[in-house]
This record gives sequence, structure tokens and C-alpha cells, in this order.
Amino acid sequence: MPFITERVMPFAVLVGAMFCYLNLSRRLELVVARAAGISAWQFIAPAIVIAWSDRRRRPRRLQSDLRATCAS
Amino acid sequence: MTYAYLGAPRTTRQGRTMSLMGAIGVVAALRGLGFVGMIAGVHTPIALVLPYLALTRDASCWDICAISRGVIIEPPAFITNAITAIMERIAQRTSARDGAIAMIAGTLSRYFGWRFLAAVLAVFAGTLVLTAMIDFLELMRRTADIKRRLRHSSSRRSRSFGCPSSPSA
Repeated sequence: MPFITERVMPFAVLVGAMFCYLNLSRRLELVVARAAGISAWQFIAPAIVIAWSDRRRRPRRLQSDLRATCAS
Repeated sequence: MTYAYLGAPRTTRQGRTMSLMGAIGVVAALRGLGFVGMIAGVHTPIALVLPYLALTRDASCWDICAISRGVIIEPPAFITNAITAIMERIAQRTSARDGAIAMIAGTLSRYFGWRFLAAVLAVFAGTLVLTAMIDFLELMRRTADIKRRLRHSSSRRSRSFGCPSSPSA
């Protein structure tokens, strides 16, 4: 389960973000948000935070994967 | 330590807030130091001394001495000035004119955050269900002929020991 989670989570975040913002845009909720004074940076803040945390976590895992591959 | 940090009696609440924040900060630093010491002690045994040194500082009753002697511990001026500037900026932002806009922005931001989280979790759960289903089908496929294999292996074992094979085989 943790192994699957580690593999699936980046994919889930990407597809989930696309799905979420597509739905918001289709129902004109993003237009309402812009009219209410929210900047684009504010409503993409959750995606940016998650992408940034994943970017910080990723290289270390890739290095460990590479080391395990070289060792085997 | 908090009582020692309270300082002289005053009319504002700043001393109390600062003392509580200082106490929380020192406790967090002590906990972090212990954690770092334990982790670093795996490779560098001398690092195990760090938590004990920190505990010695706490157990040395410096704060009780400070209280009994009436020593006033004040935070540096640049910290109090920075906190005052931050509080003023927050007060300006939440003034009566901008209060409604800030409230709408906060509510909508929370709404977008929840929508985003729900979408990510839905995709994640869907992928997990799909993976579990494929794993289950693969397991079923592999164990489909397990009875035949067991029968085959038991007959081979009985033949190798020179015993007559079981009637079911």
C-alpha cells in the first residue's frame, strides 16, 4: 500500500488538479472568483503548494532509486 | 521560564504574549535539539551529548534564580519593533473597508482548496480501487489451477518415497 501510494500520488495530484480546475472553469466559478477580487495566484495556491512540496521530495527519492538500481 | 520572561509588571499585554511565545519557542528548540541529537548520534556518538546538555540547562534552575533575584528579561528591541510593524500591517489589512473583501477571498480560497483536495482524493481512490481489482484478478488467475497442481505435487512426492499413490490422485 505505501509503495502504491508513492507511485500513484503524483499522478493523482496531476489528474486531480486538471479535473478540479476544468470543472471550476466549466461552471464559471473561476470567473466569479476573479470578480470577487481573488487573483489567479490565490486560487492556484493549493496546487502550487503541493507541487512545490513534491518537487522538494522528489530528487532524494530518485537518488535512492538510482542507488538501488545500481546496487542490484 | 515563562514567569521569568514576564518581566516587570506593565499595563499592556505584550510582555505576556512575548513570554508565552518565548516559552513555546524554547520548548520547541529543546525538542528539536533532542531529535537532532538522537538522529545524529547514529553516526556521531558525541552528538548524543546534545540533548543532555540542553536538559542540564533546563534543570539548572536558572529561571528560578532569575525570578528570585528579580532579573528582568526583555526581548531585543528589533524583535518587538518587527512584531509591532507586522501587527500594524495586519490591522490595516483587516480594516472596515477591506474586511469584506478579505473575508470573501478567504472563504473562496478555502472552497477552492477543498475542491482541489476532493478531486485529488477521488482520483487517488479510483486508481487504488483499479489497482486492487487488477491485483485481485491476477491472484485469481494464478490460483485457478492450484488444486490440480497440489494433486500433481502430492502424487510426485508419494511416487518418490515409493508409496502407492492416494486413491484420489
